[in-house]
Amino acid sequence: MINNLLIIEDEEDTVGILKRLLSANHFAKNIHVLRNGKEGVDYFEALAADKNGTAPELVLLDIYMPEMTGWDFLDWFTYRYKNDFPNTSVCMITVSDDPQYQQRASRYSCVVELIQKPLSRQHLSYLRNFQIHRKRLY
Amino acid sequence: MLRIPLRISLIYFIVGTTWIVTTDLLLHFVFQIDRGLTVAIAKGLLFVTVSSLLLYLLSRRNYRQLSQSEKQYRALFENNPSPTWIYKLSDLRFLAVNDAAVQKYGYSQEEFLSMTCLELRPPEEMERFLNFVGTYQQEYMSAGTWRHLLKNGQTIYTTINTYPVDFDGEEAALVIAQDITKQIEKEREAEQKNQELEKLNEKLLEKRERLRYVQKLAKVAGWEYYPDEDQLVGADEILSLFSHEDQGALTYAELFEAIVPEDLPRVLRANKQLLRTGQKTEVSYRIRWEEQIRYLRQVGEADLLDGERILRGMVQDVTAMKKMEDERDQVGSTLRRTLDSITDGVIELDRTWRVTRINKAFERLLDIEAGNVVGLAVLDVFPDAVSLRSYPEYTNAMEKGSVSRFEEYYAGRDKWFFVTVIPTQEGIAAYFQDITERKKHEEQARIWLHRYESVAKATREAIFDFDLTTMILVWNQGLERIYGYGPEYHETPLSWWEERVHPDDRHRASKSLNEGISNGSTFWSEQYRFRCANGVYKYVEDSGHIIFDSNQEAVRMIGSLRDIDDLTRANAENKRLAEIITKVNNVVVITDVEGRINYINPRFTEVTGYTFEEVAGRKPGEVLQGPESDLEVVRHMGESLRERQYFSVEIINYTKDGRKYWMHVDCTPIYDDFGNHQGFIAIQNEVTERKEKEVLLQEHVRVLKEISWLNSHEIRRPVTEIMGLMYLIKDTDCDEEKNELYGLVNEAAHNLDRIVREVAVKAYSLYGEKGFS
Repeated sequence: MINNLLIIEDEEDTVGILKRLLSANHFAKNIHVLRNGKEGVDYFEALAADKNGTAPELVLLDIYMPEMTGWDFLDWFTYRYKNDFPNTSVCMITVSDDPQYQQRASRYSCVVELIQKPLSRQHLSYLRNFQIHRKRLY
Repeated sequence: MLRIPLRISLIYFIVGTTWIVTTDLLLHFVFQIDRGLTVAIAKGLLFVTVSSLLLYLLSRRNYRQLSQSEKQYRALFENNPSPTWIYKLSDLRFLAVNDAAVQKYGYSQEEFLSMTCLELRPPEEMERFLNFVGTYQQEYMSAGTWRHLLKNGQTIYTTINTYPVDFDGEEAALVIAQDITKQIEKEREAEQKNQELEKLNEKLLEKRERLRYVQKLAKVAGWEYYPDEDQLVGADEILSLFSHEDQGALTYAELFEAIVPEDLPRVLRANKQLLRTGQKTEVSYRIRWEEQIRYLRQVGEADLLDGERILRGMVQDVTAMKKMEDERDQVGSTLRRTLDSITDGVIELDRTWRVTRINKAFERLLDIEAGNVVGLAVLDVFPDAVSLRSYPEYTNAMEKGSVSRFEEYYAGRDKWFFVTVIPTQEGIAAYFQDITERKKHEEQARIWLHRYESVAKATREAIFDFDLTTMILVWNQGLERIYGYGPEYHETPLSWWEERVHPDDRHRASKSLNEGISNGSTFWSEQYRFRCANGVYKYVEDSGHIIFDSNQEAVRMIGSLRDIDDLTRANAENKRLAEIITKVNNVVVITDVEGRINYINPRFTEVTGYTFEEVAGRKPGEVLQGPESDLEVVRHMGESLRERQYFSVEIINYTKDGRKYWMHVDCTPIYDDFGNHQGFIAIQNEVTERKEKEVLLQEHVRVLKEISWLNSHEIRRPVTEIMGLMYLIKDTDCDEEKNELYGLVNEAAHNLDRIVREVAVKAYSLYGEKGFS
């Protein structure tokens, strides 16, 4: 079970359905929700400044959002996570089936998976296994 | 010959002796008078013997004189430059011919002597000749013009002078024939042409000058003067020339007194000179005899007779000839009258190169007087003669007896002469025809031609001289330089030219040339294609100045054949291009360096509505651009024009009546052959339709992109919600929660429906249709 999960998603309905799915599957202890990439940047900036803060193990990141898209957020995050947030993984979620998105997403080493919505129970177990596996590596 | 005086003397002696003996014997035997018979007979015989001897001596002297004059006579006959012959009146056989006749007629002496005069005549003149012989008169006469046949069959025209002679006791006629064929032909060809008339006159005068030599034959009296004895023999003979009655009592002194006073000094001077120098002299004078004026010509020269120095000469009564000349001149044509005013200069030299005679014309030509030069060495009179180019010609004539003709420039008088040198008995005679004027013209023409040649070398022209009487063209080197025809084509017939005119142009060019010549204009010009030596046709401009003679007849054409091939072809090319520009669908605008319009094609007017007059001198931009013209594009165009760079733009323009249209403009600067900037040419296409389509298309693309985005996001989002909710419903067992989730699914489905409608509205908006609400 993941201790801290961060969701960056602007759609209320999607977030509601997502939270129901997560809790039904007991996927995470703490779930924090942000509305766009800009809020994500602020969140991680604050984390980096606070020595006692705990970085999320997994971020579910939507692509199309107002103010700052998921891509823009990733561009910022890529240069920070290795030093400041080495235990944080990113899973992108999108409604688009554009194959270019897969290619683009693979360029960011922090991204573990790009998942086309809606998320299913199978997706969650896959992510959980990945997370266990990852922990073992460190 | 000398037997005749002996015979006469013998007859006289026999008769005298018979008379003396017979009468004395009669007196003695019949009348019985016997008074010293023997003495009387002896006295008579002595008288007869002495008188016979005296008679013999006197006769012999007379006959010697006679034979001397006959010698002169024969010399004059044989050396006569005109064909001269003697024929027997009874059977018309030739008795003697001179060398000139042999040369002229082509028969040898032997052939001549075996022929009759009839054989020289063409058939149609036989009867005329026989009639003439039938009425032959016993005096010198001019028999007019006759046609004679040469051995080679050629017919010549001759003027005949004839004089009855006694030839070895036969009644015969001496004939002097002057070949006037050329004159006759010329006379016929151009009787009214003044220039040719003059030439003809000169020729005739030359002939007459020679004729004068021959005329010495007529009425000649010989005389001899013995200076040692101061004795003149032959005065009576002279008198007998014009006195019909025997007036033997008259002396030479009386004859001398009869000389017309004005002429006397000349005679005296000539005689003195003859006495002093012994050189041949000639003097003409008039005497008044029996109330008539007689013309005499006297020739004298020194000679040796039996080792004794004597002066010998001839006097010729030229009165008849003078009268005849007067008559002839009076009744003669204008042509002949003019002969008197013009003549060749004649100078005669003896074998010691002394001047023996010059005529009036010569005096006039060289501005000297006969009295001052006759008797002098020719080099004293003309010291610069040695340096003449033609000096050897004179020497040849003198030494080899050859006739020569040449042109000579005499610097001392600044004159050109056509000189004919003929050998004479005494030396040579030279006939001078003044051709200075002609030479000057020739020289002038040559200079001009030379100048023209040098100018012509720099131009692309072949010069020709077209003789309209012979139809021969003479070309200069331009023909070779420009058209490749070598020197063998220097002279060509007109047909040669015609053959080289392009078949399509030939008829037109020939017709034009004929009209040009015949319509009296002085200039002719035509363009056609002319075939070069290599077979290639070139466009040429043929132009010529037509020259007329005094009868207003065109006689020649001086002209040039100018190569205008490049020009013509360039013009043809230009025409073709101009036609294309006029007919193309593109709008073409040409501007000057400052961008001001100086050409538009018709399509410009069709598209914009502006005529050339309305836009000439204005800038295309200020005419065509309007409110919606893109200022950025206008600025780009301006910059390119300033920097003279090619540009290609699309811009909104406005027609004259304000309609807006799109124009594609390709504009490039134009330069001449020397790289000078000449302006700009702009090719424009109206692209309004394309532009409008483009705008429409862009709109479509934008809408489609939107639809595509809606597809991928707006529609998929509620779908994923529904799918996500369905996963939750599947996973839960709680009915209450299931119902709540169904409610959410329902909500998401409505959401989806709304979004699909929105997409449909957008999609249909592209095609202008209403949505399906």
